[in-house]
Amino acid sequence: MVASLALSCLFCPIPQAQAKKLKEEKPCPHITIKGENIPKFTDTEKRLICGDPKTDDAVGDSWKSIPNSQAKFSLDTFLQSRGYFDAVYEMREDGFSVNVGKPTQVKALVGVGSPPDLELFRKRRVVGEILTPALLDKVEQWTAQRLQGIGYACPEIKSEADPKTGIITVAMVPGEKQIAARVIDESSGGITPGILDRYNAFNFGKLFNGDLLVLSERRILRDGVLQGLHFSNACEKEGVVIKRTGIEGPPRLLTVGFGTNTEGLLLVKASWKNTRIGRRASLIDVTALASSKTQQVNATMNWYNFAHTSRRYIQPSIAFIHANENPYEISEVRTQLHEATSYDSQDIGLTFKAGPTLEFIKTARGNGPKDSHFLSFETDTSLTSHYNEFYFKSPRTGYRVDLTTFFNSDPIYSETTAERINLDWEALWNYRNFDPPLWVLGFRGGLGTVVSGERPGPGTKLPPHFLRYLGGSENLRGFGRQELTDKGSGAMSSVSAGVEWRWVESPLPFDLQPFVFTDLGLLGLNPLDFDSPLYWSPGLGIRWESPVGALRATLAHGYASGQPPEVSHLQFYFSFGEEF
Amino acid sequence: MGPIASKFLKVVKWSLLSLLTLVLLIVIALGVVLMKPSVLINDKTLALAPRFLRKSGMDIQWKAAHVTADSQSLKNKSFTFAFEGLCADLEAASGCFDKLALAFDVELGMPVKLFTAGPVEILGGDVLVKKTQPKPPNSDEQNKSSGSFDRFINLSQMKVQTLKVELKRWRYEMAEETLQGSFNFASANETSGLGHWIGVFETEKSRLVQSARAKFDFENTKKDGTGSWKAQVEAKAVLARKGKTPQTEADANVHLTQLAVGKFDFDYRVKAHYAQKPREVHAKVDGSYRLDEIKAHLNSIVHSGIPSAPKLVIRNCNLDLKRVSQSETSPGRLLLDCPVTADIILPSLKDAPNLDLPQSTGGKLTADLKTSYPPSASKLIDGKVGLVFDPILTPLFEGGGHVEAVLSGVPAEFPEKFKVNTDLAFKIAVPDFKKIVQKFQKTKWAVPAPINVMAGRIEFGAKGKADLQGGKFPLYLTTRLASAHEKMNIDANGEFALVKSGTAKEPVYDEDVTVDVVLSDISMALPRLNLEKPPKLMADRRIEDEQKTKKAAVAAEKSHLKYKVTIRTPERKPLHILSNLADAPIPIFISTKMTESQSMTGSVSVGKFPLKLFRRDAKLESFVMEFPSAKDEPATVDGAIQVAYTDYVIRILIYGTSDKPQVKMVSEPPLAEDQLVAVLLFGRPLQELEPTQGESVGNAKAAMADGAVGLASLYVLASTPIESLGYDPESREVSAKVKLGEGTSLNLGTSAAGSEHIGVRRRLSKHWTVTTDFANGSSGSSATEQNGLSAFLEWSSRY
Repeated sequence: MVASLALSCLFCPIPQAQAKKLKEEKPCPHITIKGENIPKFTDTEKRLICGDPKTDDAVGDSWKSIPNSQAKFSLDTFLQSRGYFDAVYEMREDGFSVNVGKPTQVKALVGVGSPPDLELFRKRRVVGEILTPALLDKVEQWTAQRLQGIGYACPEIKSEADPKTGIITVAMVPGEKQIAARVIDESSGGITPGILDRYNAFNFGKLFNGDLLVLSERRILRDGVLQGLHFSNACEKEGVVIKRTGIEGPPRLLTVGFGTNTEGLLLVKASWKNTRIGRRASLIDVTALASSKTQQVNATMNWYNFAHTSRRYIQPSIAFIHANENPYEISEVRTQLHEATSYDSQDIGLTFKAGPTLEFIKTARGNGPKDSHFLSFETDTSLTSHYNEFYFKSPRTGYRVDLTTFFNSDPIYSETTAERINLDWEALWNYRNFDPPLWVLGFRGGLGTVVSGERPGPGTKLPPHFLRYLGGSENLRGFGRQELTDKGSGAMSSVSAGVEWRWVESPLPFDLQPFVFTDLGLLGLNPLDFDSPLYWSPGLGIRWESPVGALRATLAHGYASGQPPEVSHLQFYFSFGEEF
Repeated sequence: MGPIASKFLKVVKWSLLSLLTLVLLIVIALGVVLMKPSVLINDKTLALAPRFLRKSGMDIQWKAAHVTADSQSLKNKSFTFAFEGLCADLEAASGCFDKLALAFDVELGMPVKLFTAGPVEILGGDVLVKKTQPKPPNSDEQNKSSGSFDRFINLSQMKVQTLKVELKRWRYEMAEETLQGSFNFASANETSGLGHWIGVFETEKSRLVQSARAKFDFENTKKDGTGSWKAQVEAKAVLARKGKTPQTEADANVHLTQLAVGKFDFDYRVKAHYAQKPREVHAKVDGSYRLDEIKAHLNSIVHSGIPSAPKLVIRNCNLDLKRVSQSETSPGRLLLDCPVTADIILPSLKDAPNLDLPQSTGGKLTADLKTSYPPSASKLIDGKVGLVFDPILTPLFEGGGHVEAVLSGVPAEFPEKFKVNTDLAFKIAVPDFKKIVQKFQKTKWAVPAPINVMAGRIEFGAKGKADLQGGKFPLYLTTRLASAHEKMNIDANGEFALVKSGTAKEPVYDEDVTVDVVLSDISMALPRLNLEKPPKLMADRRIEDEQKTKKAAVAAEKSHLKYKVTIRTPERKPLHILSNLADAPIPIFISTKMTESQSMTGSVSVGKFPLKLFRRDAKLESFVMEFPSAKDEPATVDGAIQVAYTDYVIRILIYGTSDKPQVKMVSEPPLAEDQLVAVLLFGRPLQELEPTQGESVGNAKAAMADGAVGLASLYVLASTPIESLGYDPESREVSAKVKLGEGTSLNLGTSAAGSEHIGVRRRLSKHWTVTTDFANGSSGSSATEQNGLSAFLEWSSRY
């Protein structure tokens, strides 16, 4: 009875909150500002409202005394810039008090002259926001950016708003859709002109997309080829002519840092790079990375020795690795000589590397040969949709597929035949493609297998880190890192899948984004064969997009079907920089 | 004589006899008619009249008619016509009368003359008159008919018997409206005849007229028409209201007294009132009209109804027009001596303080003109008209002046053939500006800072030649204001004109103002500014109440104010802007023009002056902002700043548009632009910079290329010890980290959350960044097989 009453009272009308007490501030003795929230003013603004008592410089006492009417005018202007349009003044002879009222919220966003494919309704955080000139700037800027994203390279945008109705009207003249015609390199110094085309996420002769210019720019800066770079575009008869202006900076970069990775491990890193070797801007990167689990030194060169505009390069590399994981401890020297290339369509980017890999492995703990060597033919293929890459910092859309294979044979300088295949994928769906998103649904999965006549266990010729393990924030968040080893020795196959629903626009404070998820996984003792139990881990988490990267915390319960309850437990993860 | 001749003579003889007999018969018949006209004009012959009249287009019928024709002597004949139920239908009018009786006597002769008219009795009439387009008169016919009429009726020799007209109803039919009413006009009594007539004319309520009534009284002093005359007309009309227009009322009382029989000399007295609230005119005029002199004495009060226009009071205004010579061209002389008082009504400013101005100001309007006599608009006038204002002297204002006009021309040909040379000398001055500041200090009309600290004099007036035909007046404004740091000397001269446009029926008067404002000597102080984003001084025009915007647009469209204002500084004397951010006053040259249809055109340029930029002594060599003639186009900028270093001189060139200025840097000896930006921002060449500083150089270049750095922001950046500078090409936001002191820094430009950075790289301070790496990225670190992300706090150095 009480419960039903309580339940029914969930729908009782909530007593209206009493009117909030007004705050009061006095920027100067004769002016009182009241309001539920009083905006902050800059020093210069305060001088324009209250006058400037300082009289000892070139300006003198010219602004010492501000008449009430002028102070009111200035204050009105400053309030307008903060979204307050209904300030009520009580003027007195010796000053005034003002109730700033409530800021005006935007009620609607209307487009005039908008092409149908712009879909202005997708722009969020406008309706309901406080109407300010800065918001209009943002709306204009977003509209221009979106128009440029769908081919209108040189749009003209003008916005206006009615503070009485709260309606923002964006008038636009998008012009014609344009194609990307050509790039002109300006001040790219010692690099052969056109070299930077290998980073292009767009194709000439195809529809212009401003987002892809930004993406191309980021790629160049991420590799450090140039220290600074800027794309600008002009609409010509032939299409959009893109001007690429770079600042070279010194080519060598020394970096020392510490941080954390997905698994929450403390990392120390030092790297040395030469990002511009020769006129084709080849790259050498020597990186040392250490955590309590793994220490490695990796030297890689991306040697561009083909025709200057080619995306193909030779990548020799050598890595010294020591890994001390729960199931094993190994040391490895890995040398590779790969040929690599990349391809970009208007929608996706593809990188492909292939070549021989020679590994010398020493197993210090765990099953596997004490010393072994493998000569394999390795391929790395990575397919990423442009918008997945574009929103890398704040994932919301697109997909990514990574496939790595090692093919070897024991007669060819290998301990045993152990062909490794690893496939990872991720797909994100932004509900109605809102910007910023309302909620994001993500799917991910992984498949790994080792095709070999060997099986895990004592005496096996397979090094332990060739085997498959599950658990951790990368696949099954209800279990500890590499906790699931399939009877303690590692598995020949693993498959995992996960789904996550993230509420981006939640009512939680500080823009915290809650999410719920479920991960599933299977291990198998034979290649491409999976055994029970089915591991699964439902959970929930919270994400905060801090200025320096995303912080995520998850709490999930790991279950194993048909297994003793001891296997099941709660698992907490806190990660920095990781995304779904 | 043969038989043929004999037969011919016989025929002639009989023909002559027949002709003689016929003539004799005609003479007998005429004699009978002459002696007894009723033989020809009688009821029977009258009954035949409608048939003949119908043939000539007149449809006249009656129920009963009686006519008498008597012969009083051989030449004088009397006629009476009496009709009952007479109805006439003519082209422009129709009507029926219960009774129409008419008697008159004529004298036969060449021509026939009417010597007695009346009694006339028209009773129970109902007349409809239609408004028709007047036919262009055939001048020959008109002359002929008017001449024969004059010969038929000679009023001075005619004796008029009693007259009685009672129109029960008259109607005047116009295209969209019919006026109707009654009309009575009759001899004052049965015997008065021409001696005394009175009449009343009335209208009934219609869409045009609420009511109208006029009463006439014409009285002969000898009661028989042979003495002098007195006339009195009392008229009053109230027009119907149309929509929200105020009721219009007018009444007048006119007395005319003829001074001598047969002479057109009379005294007159008119009292009139016209009102369409709030407009109202009361006037009393009395005077005389003589053969050689016309005098008028006028008292009048005019309420214009326009809030800003004054009430005009005219008291004891004397006008005297007399014949002074027999000259055909200008025999008359008009003298006017007219004291006028005008209310001073300043524009209605809500909450404005009392300015202690007198309620009214006086003046005297005088004229001495050679004119025609009697006055005629189609003849020449020539002479002077003057208006002298009484001086104004109050604690806040002083003023006075006069207007003198020399006229020459024919009024009817105004303004084409009419010359008016007018000299104006009028001023209103504020002798002590401080008093105005104090007076307005506590009001919403307070003088704003930084002008409110100034003292001095302001004078506004009109001086010079005016063109009254064109409605043009010369105007001027002079300010001589100064404070310890500022000065505001302005000399503006211009012209105000009322230009007639629109149609003849609906004329529109446009106010046309042309002013040339010379900023003779100006020094103005800016408010003390911090090195931060400058505050918005005006509300953003993009956010406006739609109704307000529409109202403003409608008001602008309806406005009849046309203006052409040029604002300029003298050639070698710029205005000076004082700022705490500039070491010396900033010299600014202005040469701009504004019209009601075109926003500002022309240029504003900054002269050479020293400044501190990038922590160095710099010099602004030139800066010109050109405002284009196209309305929505932004201004173009073109400027150069020179920053001197030990080994080279850097010039910063600013060009493009004011909303998207482009910045280019050149140096002597030449350096790459990267190097220039590095030197300017950090004081060192690119090779010596830290990686984050190098990125800042890139960002600065990108932001400049995008025109994302406004001119004010550029100055702020250039004046700030920059630690690093970020630029987001997506949001076009520039952010700068500036060094405030050892170990302290401040982010400018944008909030952290609002700024996207390259991938997931974020600078924290010099050398330090937070970087998030995706393990499978293209950086080459693919040693880890499993994908993953790492976040690092990094120290880095480029070399």
